[in-house]
Amino acid sequence: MDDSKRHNDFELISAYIDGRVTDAERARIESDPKLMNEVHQILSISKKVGKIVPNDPETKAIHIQAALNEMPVNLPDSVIPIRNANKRSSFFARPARILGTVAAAILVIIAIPLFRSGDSSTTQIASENLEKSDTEQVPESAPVEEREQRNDGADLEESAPLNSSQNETATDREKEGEIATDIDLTEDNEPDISENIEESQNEKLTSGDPSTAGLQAVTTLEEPIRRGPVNTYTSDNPNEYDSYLLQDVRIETGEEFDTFIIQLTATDDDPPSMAPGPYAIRLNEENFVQEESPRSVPEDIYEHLVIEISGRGGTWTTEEEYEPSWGSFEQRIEAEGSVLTGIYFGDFESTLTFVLGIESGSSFRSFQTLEPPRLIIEVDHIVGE
Amino acid sequence: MSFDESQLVAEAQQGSRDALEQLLEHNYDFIFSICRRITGNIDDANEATQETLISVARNISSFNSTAKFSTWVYRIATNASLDEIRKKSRRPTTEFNEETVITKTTPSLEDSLIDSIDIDIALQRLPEEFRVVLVLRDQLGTSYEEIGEILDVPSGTVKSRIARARQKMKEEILGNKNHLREVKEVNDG
Repeated sequence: MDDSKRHNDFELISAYIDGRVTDAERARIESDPKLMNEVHQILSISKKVGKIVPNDPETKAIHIQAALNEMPVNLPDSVIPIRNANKRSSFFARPARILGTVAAAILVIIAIPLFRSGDSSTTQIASENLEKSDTEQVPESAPVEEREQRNDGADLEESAPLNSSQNETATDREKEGEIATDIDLTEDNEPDISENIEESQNEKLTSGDPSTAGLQAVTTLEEPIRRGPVNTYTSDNPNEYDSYLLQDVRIETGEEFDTFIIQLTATDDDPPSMAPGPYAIRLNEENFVQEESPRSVPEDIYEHLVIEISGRGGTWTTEEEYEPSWGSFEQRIEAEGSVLTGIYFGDFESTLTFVLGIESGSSFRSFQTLEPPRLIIEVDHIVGE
Repeated sequence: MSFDESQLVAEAQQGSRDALEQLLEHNYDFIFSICRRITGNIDDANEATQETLISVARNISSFNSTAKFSTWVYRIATNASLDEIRKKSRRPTTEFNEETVITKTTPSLEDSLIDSIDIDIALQRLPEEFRVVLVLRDQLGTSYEEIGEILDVPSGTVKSRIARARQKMKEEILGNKNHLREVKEVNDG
């Protein structure tokens, strides 16, 4: 039998097995004992190939759980997407709130030296900030961080809404498993925020817009407005969050923005109800660009965010042996298609430190999720060269 | 409780974790089997399976619900398996073990050989494009058209590849049988 006929017979047999033959072809095969013998042989092999190979139940459970943890959390209405800050929020149109924000801005000015206090650790910053907030109602968080392109004194009025009951409101939401955001959510201003969301959800990000206003701009006596930091270290006991352990760090690319994800895992059976812990974000911190600094930013990163979040990067298995839970000191985090570069600088005193290299002119925002515990920073998606 | 895939997909797309969990549970064995057969070893299969599940979880909201969910999932599993093979560029860890096969040889030679020879070994000796179509067809009963959709090839090509794959599998296994028969005769003196 030549190869061509043999192959044709095999195609016929294969099609017969799959029920893809004509009546005439079927009759031909079934009348030929030799071909039927081949059919039985192939069916026997196919049966073996088709046998389902189960995995062990433990691995299966791990796989499924890990996948479920990757399920995107539906953003609740309270999360404001990156917005075109050129469009003014109705939230800020009310005179009473303007007064409030002016007061808050003054307090921010007072707090600036604390943010820019050189070598102070974030925890220390937080403690100092907390002391202020106990008595002076310093705003505890930034709703949305936006690129500040132009220094405009009027923008200051829009920054840092005064909020005295944020902790209580945020805690209630977090108990419901919703995303903890850095958004002002007092009972009084909730409807306005909703209006703002409805408007902004349909808006496209306009990066580089000269009138873009940072919602928590910060200033000093020497310098006008800068893009503002975020600092949520307002807990009475920041160390309560050190039950969180670093689990994963990655960058995901998107059409409009890329996402830097810091995922933690609760090591305590009774983890804190707030998600996942206080954090701080600062822009282009000088300490990180000094060559002699042990945590210096590489030369290929021109503009960066310094991100600090309460949590641990590993566990001490013995007094001398430290087992990292993820990564290593100065580990880079990159993703194909993204210009973002993350660098992990380990943990110190229950504070994890990262640097995120961003493209000049990028807008960004941050928020947290409770399940899984994550800090998420979204930055404009910029197509690299 | 009946399994309503389209309903669960809709719920998962709305953010229901329970619905997604049910979908993953329901498809897990098929996904793992595809990955196991295509990659040829359990480590790579586990990697590919995890990649598949994560990809499904991350992208469920963008899944076009007019398409068949299982086709979408199997496409992801197939690609994840092929990626795993290419990424690691390594041969399957399982190797043909002649001695093991010989000890299992019985007088009813043909069937027992097919039963006893590790199908994975024969599959791994197939060219990749043949292996994939055979796994999708024989493991899942996927139609030629669906396989074509998964692999972006015409159904005629699928039909031809399946036939070639079966032919090669048979030659591989029966070739081993003849070789083993000779070995056994030598051993028996």
